[in-house]
Amino acid sequence: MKRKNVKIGDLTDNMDMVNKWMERYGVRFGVYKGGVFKEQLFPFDSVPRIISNDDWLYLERGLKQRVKALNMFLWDIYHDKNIIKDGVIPEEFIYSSKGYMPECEQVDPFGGVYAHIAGIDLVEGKDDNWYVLEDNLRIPSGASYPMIARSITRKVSPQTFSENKVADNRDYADLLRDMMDEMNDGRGIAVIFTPGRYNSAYFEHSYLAEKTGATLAFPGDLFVENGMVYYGGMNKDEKKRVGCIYRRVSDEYLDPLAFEDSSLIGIPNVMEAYKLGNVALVNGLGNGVADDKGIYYFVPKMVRYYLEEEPILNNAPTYLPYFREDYEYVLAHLDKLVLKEVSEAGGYGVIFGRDLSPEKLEELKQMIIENPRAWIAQEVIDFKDLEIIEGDGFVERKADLRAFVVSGKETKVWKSGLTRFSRNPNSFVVNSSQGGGFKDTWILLDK
Amino acid sequence: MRQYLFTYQTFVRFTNPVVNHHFRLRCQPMKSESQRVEEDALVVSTHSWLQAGHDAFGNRTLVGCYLLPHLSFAFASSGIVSLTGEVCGHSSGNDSLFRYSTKLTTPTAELREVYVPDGSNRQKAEYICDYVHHLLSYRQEVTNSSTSVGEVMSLRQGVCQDFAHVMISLCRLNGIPARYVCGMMVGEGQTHAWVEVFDGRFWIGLDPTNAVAAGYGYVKLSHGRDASDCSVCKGVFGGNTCQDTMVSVSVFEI
Amino acid sequence: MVKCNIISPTKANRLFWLGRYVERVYMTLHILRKCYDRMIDGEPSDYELLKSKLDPSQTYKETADFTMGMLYDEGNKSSIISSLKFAFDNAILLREDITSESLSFIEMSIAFIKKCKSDNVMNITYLQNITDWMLSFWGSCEERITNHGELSVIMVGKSIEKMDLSLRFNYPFNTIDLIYTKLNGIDAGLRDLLFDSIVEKRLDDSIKQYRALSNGLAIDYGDEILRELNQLVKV
Repeated sequence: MKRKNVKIGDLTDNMDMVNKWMERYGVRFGVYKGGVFKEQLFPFDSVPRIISNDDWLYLERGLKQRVKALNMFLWDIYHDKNIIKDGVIPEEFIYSSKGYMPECEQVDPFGGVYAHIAGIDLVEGKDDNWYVLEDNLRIPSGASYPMIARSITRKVSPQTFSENKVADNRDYADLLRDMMDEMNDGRGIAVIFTPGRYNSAYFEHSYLAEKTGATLAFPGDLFVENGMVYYGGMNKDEKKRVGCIYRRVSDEYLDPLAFEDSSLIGIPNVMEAYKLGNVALVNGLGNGVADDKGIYYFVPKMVRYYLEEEPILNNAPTYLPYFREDYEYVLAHLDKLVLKEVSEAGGYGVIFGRDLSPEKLEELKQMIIENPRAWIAQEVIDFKDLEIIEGDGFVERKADLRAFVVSGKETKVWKSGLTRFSRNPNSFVVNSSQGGGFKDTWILLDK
Repeated sequence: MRQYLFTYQTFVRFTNPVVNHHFRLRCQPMKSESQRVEEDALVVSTHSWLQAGHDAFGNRTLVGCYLLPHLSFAFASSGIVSLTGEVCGHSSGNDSLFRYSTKLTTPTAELREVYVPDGSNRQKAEYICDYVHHLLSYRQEVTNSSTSVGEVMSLRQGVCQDFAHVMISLCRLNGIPARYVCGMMVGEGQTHAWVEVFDGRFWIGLDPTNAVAAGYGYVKLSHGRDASDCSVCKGVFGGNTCQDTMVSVSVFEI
Repeated sequence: MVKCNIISPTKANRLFWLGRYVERVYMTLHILRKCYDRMIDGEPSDYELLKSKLDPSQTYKETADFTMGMLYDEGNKSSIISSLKFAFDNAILLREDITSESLSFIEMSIAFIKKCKSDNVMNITYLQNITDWMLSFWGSCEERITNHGELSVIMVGKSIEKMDLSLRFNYPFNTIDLIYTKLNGIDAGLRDLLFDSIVEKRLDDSIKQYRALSNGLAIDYGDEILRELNQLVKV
């Protein structure tokens, strides 16, 4: 098989071998079905997403710009709030966001970084433009999958990688390690804090711990005393100070004494150590206010506001019914738009107007009229399909790309990404919990 | 200006020893222009670390831990405060925070329909305070600390916390910043809850449970968006045990 | 990145049980093979004892049921598949300590035994892969675990399991003594953390007593060594 000017036949012919290695390393993710936890192998499709060097340079610049602006926004929101005072973002989009945490007011995260690891979801439109669909600034997962897929595909088909010049993506662990070292700043050990084996991304937690050399900490391993976080040893007197926690536990469960008190997976009083500046949390707390569906609309405005630059990356065309002119447009074009609930509080998720009956459409209209602030609307983007292997042939399916941006002292973009695809030919949803799979993402070094 | 002597104490007994006990307390009187703390003291039974600080809302906090096995935990906060009796406090700088509903104070459709006559924030809030007082009847043990406004509205009953939540919900619906207050009151043997509303310059205390202004006799411990921001004592520990908790509160005018 | 060299109590517990379960898989397969061999053409008296020790509650009436059950019955806690799963439950939580490479031998064994189960493989010889992978696992641990303390805790688990099964299946005292000597060889600091010192003293006295008694000859040892052995570790 020959794609563009890329030969991948040797790789796609050897899928059995690839899958054997995937099984050997237990490349899994967990799903809850009917309340029961099940782990399954994450289906891998060996046809890579290929991004040309030029495209990549563009994406890289755009991603860095976007994440820088988002980090500046987070600092501003938890300090002076100039962006509200200057009327760029209405305050209610901040204060009624589920992700806004008053506890983070005036707290200075180490180095001023909030989103150390940002997962930016993009799609490539049929018009050849890339569009950002979502920013994930809390605990984005997925980088481990292309990492391990690459180490396997290189083993199985060395020829493919000597014929194509693909940027090595196995350096993600180095990016992560360097960033964690910077955040730790010599204060102690660095840990990856996992909620445990029954988390859907547990494979990733343990794999990244192994590859970075960080200690994998479970609930109960860490405790706070004297304003410091410690990792406790077998011997009661034995403890090691922790300087950096790459935590894979969400904000509300991280500290049962500061937030959700029913949390059994948190570190009691870790918020206190964080406030005192004695431990770096990766990612920082309170980032949810910046990756909220309502805030997404304002990200291009943030770029202009904080960096005084034109945004390099496009948002999908988005409307906020909260604003008068958008309100009129949305109500008039409901049947053509995608509607998303800002807080997901009603559990409506993503609604395609074109799939609704006239009655349902009217119902939706009433809900928007009742609470316009709760909704965003987007144009349906016709995105490029990618080939996947099915049976003995190839079929085209929807796919997105999650790019990973790592920010320590500097902001760096990982030269790869997680490409997720949907198996279902009619589905636009590429969520891995809904039966999709993943692909490696190649950044070509040659033009 | 009137002076009050207050005591807040908690005693917890465990049936089996507990370890790795971490806690966070908000049991000391707030310092403000309307509430001057003349003297206060705090004792905590067993701890290997105890640190004073403030939370996001400016409430006084104490965090700490005791890791070794123990069978009881107790603390007492007491002191003397002077109240101006004027029901006011200045803007806290971040008043907008109290304009938006929270999980516990999400308004019901019924509350959205409530008619509030036009007037200043203060007048509207006083109207709402009275309205809520008559809307609900006071009854213990039908609600708990995590009962939402929705549940209270269907029960039409509750305790001071529930009265406060419904009032907050209505105030916010009507554009008035409102916050939850946890404190103590003369003649009340447990903590009390009331509401503060922002009139544009000052915060004003109103008590919907008793339909009065929260002036003299109200000793304030903490405020927040709703009750979940104001818990007096939170703790976690390891061990397989049952616990028996005794709380006693007293406020006397001196 | 600074490597954390201390071992949390939960981690020690997992390392210990990982060692025990991997050794249990290996030893059980070994003993099953012996039993299986005798069942080919032997008289029941030749294998009844072994069979009853492997399956003390006599769950399986038929010989075929017994073999299949001991290999694949997930409801039987001493079956190979159960022991593998228990080993996996601990190993999966220790990836960054034992490395993905060591873990992969357990991953492969589980995938393999599931396949054998679905194919109804009766001939235990086909499970040789698992024996090989268990041995590879030990080699991999020794080669790749960088924290000496962690390796020692796994090895303590391994030795205790080996000694436990050897005692249950009446191995000669010499063999028991050799395993004990190895177990005793772990460094003193770790021993203080892992072992209950009172039990340790009692166990050591028992071993010495039997050592003197046996004097290189076969002897009958009671079950007190076994009892003490299983009370030895605190984690």
